[in-house]
Amino acid sequence: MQLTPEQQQALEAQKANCPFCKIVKGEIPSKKIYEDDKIIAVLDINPAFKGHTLVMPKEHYPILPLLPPETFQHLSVKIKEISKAVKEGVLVFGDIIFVANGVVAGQQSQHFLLHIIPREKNDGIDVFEFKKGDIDKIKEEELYKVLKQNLPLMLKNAYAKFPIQQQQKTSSLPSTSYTKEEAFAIIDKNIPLKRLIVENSEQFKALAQTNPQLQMLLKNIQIDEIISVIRKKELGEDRQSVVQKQSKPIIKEAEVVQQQQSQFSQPSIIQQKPVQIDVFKELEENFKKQQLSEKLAEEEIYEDFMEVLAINPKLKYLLLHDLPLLKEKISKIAELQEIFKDVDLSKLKEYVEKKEVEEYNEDKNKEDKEQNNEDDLISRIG
Amino acid sequence: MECKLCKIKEGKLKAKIVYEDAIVLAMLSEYPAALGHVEIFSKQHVDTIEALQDIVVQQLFTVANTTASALFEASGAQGTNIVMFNGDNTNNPYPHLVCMVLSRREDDGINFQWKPKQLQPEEMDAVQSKIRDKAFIAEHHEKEKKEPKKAEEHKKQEEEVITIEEENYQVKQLDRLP
Repeated sequence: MQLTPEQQQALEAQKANCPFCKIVKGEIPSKKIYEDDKIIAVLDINPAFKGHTLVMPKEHYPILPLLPPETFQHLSVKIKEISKAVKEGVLVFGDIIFVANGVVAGQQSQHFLLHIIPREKNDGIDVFEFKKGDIDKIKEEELYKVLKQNLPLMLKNAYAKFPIQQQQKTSSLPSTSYTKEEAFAIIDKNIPLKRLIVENSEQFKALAQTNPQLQMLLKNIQIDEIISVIRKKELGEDRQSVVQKQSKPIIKEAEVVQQQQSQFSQPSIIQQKPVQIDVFKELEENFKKQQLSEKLAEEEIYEDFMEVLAINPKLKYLLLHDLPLLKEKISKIAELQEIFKDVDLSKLKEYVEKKEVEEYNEDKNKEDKEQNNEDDLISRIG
Repeated sequence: MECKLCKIKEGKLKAKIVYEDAIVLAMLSEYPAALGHVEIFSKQHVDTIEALQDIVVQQLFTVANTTASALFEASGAQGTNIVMFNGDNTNNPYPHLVCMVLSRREDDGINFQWKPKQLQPEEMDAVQSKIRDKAFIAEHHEKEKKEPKKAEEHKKQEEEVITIEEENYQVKQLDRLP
């Protein structure tokens, strides 16, 4: 959310009079529970239950969506710890974490607050029992459609601006979905695919539904949209290049050029080229190339491991002779976990064995040669 | 145990799902208290937030926050509430940790205003010191836990390495014998 300058000014004025900012600065006394460089937690003066805690950012923000992502992530992790401390401190088994954005929602202060309210059986707090209201079903259906469309996009934007650290790890797995830009970039590089889209969109549609790679690529994008965008782009470029080539000889006959342009904008002419069979072959070849490069990348990873194993003979011994024990050790020891987190151990074992055999063969060859040399020498002396 | 949310997550029950990823799921409530009542829950079956990893908690709150923003825009809400039912005795309709996001309008008949209780100053002090101790312990306990463990593991590893190297040496010696 972005604020206009006027809102910014109003915010500054709010800040000057905010009692909670004064609590943060220590100008108003409070019962502090937790404090770090970004957030502070104090007991509510008018609690709903003993141990009712207010968690707030130190900087003045009116509502939750205005919190910068850094503070927000810090806050969300700390809530977990503070909630645990509150529960254990007051000896209860449950609490309610409550946020109000806006006066209508029951927000009483201008400083964003997060309430942690401990709960007990028969504690007399009955406001959190939700009752089914009279809801217009048609409006609800509309809302459902809008949310279903908007929410994933908004979340994607949020992550693009400030990714959760471990989110990146999961995105390196093969089952990821691509964003629109990424998908377009991939299609742009893949010339046969592009040609297929431009020249035979029906076939492309059928292919997109059967080919698993394409399915993954186009998970979040509507096929019609892709076709229309790429067609526009390609046909537009074709037209320009044609005009550039032909503009010299036909300067005076501008009308003819225009006619030709209009012809080129119709896809019927281009469809005559017979390329459909080649397209599949090229697609397959591309796929195979990708697989090959992936394999090579894997072997590089294993090479790194060979170095690790050369330093640590115990690990190598375990890997080759007692795989279950090694697995058990890895699950127990944090450092080993870090080293071996993304690796298939059985594959690594195969690789190491292969290398060992190669090395052994090389050594043997060398020894044989040396022996031959010795024999030669002996025979000469003899 | 029968958990409705887990059945929805597995696809056995139908629901109006508005967002789903590997960690969390968001859907429109079956018994909406207002136009714009979204329920967000982790796919892992837990009943308290403490049982979740930090990354899941972050994701849960991020989705809740974004849903609040989306409701502002989509349903013409004038305000939003986020309520997380964390643990027992919380009026949670499910046996599963759930975070509800409600869009609010004027005169919508919902009121979250609890009655304030007056506590004696001594009682407040006692509660404060107890919770503060727990928060302090929680924070420093984790740091202390990690360090000595690592040192021990180092020692163990070194010892084991030595023994196996010795073994290897002896085995090699055996090989060299004619």
